[in-house]
Amino acid sequence: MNKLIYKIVCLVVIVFLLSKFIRSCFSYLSISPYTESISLLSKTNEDINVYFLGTSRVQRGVNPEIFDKVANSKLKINSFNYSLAGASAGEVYGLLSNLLESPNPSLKYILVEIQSIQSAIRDNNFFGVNKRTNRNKYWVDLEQYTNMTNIVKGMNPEIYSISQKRNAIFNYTTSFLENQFNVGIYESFVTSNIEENKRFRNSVNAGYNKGYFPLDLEKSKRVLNRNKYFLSNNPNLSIENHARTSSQKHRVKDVNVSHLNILNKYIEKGRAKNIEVIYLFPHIPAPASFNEIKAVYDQLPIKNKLNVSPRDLNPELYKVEYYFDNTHLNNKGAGVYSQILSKEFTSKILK
Amino acid sequence: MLFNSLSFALFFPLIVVVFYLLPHKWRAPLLLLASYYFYMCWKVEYILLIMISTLVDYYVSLQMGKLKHKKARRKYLYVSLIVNLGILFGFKYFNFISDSTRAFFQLFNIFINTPTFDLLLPVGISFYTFQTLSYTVDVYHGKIKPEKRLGIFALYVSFFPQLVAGPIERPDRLIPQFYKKRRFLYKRVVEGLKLMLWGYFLKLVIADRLAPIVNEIFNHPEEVKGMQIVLGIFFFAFQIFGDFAGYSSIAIGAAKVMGYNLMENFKRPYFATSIQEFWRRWHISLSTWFRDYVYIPMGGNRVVKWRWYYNVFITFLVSGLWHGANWTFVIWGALHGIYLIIGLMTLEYRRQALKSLGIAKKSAILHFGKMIFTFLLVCIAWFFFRANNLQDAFLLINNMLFLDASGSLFLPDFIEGIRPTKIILSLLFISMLLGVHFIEEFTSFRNPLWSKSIMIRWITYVFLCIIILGFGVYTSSEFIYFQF
Repeated sequence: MNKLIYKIVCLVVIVFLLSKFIRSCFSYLSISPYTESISLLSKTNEDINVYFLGTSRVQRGVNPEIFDKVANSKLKINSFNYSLAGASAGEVYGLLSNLLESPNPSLKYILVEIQSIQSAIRDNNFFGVNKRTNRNKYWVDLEQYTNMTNIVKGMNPEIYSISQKRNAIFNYTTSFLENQFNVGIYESFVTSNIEENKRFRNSVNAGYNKGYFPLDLEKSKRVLNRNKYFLSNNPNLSIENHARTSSQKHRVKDVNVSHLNILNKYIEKGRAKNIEVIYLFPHIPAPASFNEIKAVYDQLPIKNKLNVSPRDLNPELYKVEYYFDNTHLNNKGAGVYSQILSKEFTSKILK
Repeated sequence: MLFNSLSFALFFPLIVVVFYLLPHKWRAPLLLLASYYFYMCWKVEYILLIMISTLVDYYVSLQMGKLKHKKARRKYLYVSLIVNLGILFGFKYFNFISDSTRAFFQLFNIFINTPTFDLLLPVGISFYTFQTLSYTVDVYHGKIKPEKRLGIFALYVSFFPQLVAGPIERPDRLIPQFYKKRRFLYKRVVEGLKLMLWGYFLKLVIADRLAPIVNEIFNHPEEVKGMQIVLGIFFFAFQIFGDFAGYSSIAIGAAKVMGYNLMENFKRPYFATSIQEFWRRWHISLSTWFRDYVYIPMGGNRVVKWRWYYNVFITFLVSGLWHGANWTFVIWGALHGIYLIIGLMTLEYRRQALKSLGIAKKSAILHFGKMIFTFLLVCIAWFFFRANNLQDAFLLINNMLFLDASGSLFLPDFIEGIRPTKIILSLLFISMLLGVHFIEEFTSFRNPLWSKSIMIRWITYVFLCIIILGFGVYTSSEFIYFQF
């Protein structure tokens, strides 16, 4: 049996080293939408000084062209939307960490949407459709693995039970280990390098070449059905729920200290490189994750946060006509949100 | 528990280590417990069905063993048949018969309410039912003696590597193996692991890669047309092969690691040059089961010609129904029966035609042509096998022949959700599989996993590991044959 164990260990070591070698040959073994953003960015040939990072809410909700236009009356801003539809919390923080690691020299601000760990773990993107796919793990390096497991451990046990935490940590651990062997990620690498994404092409053709992909331009059945479902299922009530949530206060006991520490760590990391990391509160806070996000958000330094979501501040953000579905703005709504965000951002910077 | 799951990756090595550490007398109980646990991971309460089959067949076979005359044994055989086929019928065919009856009367404008049950089909029920039935039938015929130890018999029914999707083992092959003392033999264990590695390649890289494309095409019959459907059928042929041959290979390999030999289930079926040969290469354990327990008892080929054809047709019809309670499976079985009957009827004419054309029997072109033709026939039958229902099947046939204004009959207009890279990668891995099969079929070389050169073997191990890890599809999808 010893001989067999010895040979199996040899095989594992060879495969591990070869996987590392393959990975080192390519700058980034990435997933399709992110590679497209990278390629789009490389084509702009301009000095970007503001990045937006977040999930589809940001990708579909912030139009950098409008943002720049409003801000440029007072500041010289050239922004790019680097967000990813369907990203999980770890993925967004992973991208933030990568950007801070080797930023372009002109970069001054990164506006990151604060992420709900609770919903990232509960929703399909981490434990459902993306489970055990490259999408779920390409970003899981040791730093993000430690970050995410610490955040999970720090979650309020009333919201998230011990067994749920154990399950989440198990998933992060397997994802981390799988990532060491490039499990399941070559296909998307091949895809993103040889195939042009229709969505990307449609957006660029429509004149959006700063990473903003409006949902209105997507003609896939899945996306169109989402819009249809939203419009036929009392959209007023749905948006009203979000609006009501936006003006609430959190319960103090929900503060996840680990999450807060990680966000502060990125603020410090950015400062060391003269980059200001500003955390955005979601423009449409989901009732289920509101407490968790708000509690952490409230503890962040004033200079490093931006919240335009309260209805009493910006009632126009809650007009049903601006929404594509329950959580995403349409092109028109994105224009309005980008203007509001830009004004708030400018006044914060000029203060 | 699925072979392609993390839980199996932990379960199997643990069982193997404990198996070899335990003294011989404790190994069968360990395997029995492991097998029951393996099944209960899917649904705990359905283990009772396996236990009922086990207890009934154990009891009736012991009773049959006490009786000298076949006639006296018959009533016990009937008990076994009623219980086993009754469970199978109740869970698998009741709703189908009920729905079909209702639909039949509706044709004559008679509307009746027939009962249906909302029951989950027990995984692998057709496999273990056939395995245990072969045991009682063999005891009835006096081919084997009844097994006295309940534990060993229970293990024969539920041995985890082949419990849910075969190979369907015969009692005279498997039961004696449980008595034999197994030592850890390095060479045999490595053989088993290689079979498992090849099985994982077939399942994760071929079958699971093709599955979403095939599903997209067959689940949207109203949206696909022309070459897309042709591509769907072609891919399904390899999906089902990769899925089932992959499962068999893992099952045979896992059993081998513990020292047990299971029968070979696949022998490069798409290189068959006739349907008859196809059935000697595809799901061998099932086709030989039908041969021994259905076809031969009906008279086989030792009867008048029309009766022979009838026996062939009925055997395949039953085989179709064994696969599933749906008319699509019946058509699939019937098509294979018809192919075989036409083949038998035209055999002499074909021989004469070749002779008069001066084509040598061993001509490479003829061989290749027969292979392609057989593959096409098999694909036509697979089309019905995969279609969700008859309505979908006819809609797909209609759409397959539909030529729209853009001429998309020959230009695959990739449907939503299927990106060209997926198609290209799928074709690449299918070519890899066919390449290996070609080498095995037509040259003296074997699959490089079994090469004599240590260098080639290790390069193959590493290459397969990298491909399986990096290009495998890890969404823990079930094996197709679990539903049968």
